Amino acid sequence: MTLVNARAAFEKAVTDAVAAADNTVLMVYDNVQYTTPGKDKKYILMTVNFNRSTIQNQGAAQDYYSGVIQCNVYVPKSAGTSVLSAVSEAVIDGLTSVNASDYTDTFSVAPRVSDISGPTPLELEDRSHFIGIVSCQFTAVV
Amino acid sequence: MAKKKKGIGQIVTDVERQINRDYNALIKRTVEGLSTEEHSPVDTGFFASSWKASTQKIRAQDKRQDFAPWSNIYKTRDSNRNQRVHTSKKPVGSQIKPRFGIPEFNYKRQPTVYISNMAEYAGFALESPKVANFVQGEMRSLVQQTFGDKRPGRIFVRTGSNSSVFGLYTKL
Repeated sequence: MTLVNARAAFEKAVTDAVAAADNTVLMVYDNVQYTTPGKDKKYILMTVNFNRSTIQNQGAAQDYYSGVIQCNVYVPKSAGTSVLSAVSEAVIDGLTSVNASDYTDTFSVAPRVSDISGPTPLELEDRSHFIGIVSCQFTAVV
Repeated sequence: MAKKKKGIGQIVTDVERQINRDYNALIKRTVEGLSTEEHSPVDTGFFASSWKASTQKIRAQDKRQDFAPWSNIYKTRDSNRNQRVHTSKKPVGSQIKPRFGIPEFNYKRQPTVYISNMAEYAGFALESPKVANFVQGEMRSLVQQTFGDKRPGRIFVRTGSNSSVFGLYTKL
């Protein structure tokens, strides 16, 4: 179940940080059915993509997960950038929390993130929300 | 006749030539990699076909409706079969056909190259994690492969049925 644990570690870290900053923000994860929230709601689509699952370390293959996390932050349109900045900052705090020395590794996967980019703002005509994209690389080792 | 040996004085030229070759190879592999279904979201294939390498920042302004064969993908014949009308049906016949050639760059004269997408709706496509997955995930190994030491030969085994030249190969 280490793949599940690796995903859970990152999802929980981001979810906890976002909930602490603003508990009105809805989190949506991979392969979860949802109805697009109304234009006044704030929500985050979080995707975790695994690129690699093992590493060959002197013989035996070891579980070593790496990949990319992308969080699309959706906030009400035409209301300035402060809300997007605040929610994105919470996402980034959640991601970096797993790197902290006092992080409690509940899922025993030694999660790490690096090279966080964004929030890249996207203002799209046909979308009801203003969007910010935050992405980063991650690793998890068992 | 014995081959003339190169003097140590050629080392700078040789290294620069090698760096330039690798620089162009990386740009080419990146554009080719992005122009696949694995690394770009595909509906009609126009977005995946619209990656371009340039020394200038590019404005995404090309409309799918203006470029064949993608312009006809959402159109169909009317009941008399003599006129094309717009349809909202899921497109059949989406295709990836890169629209731009990849020019040669010189890393000294053109140290910055922008790889951008020309499709007007490129912003929508960035919502999909596929592009970030390539840029943040696979680019690192692509850079290492391209600029790393070259071995005399490499063998790749096809591990999937995908028709793309780029994807689904395992390096032995």
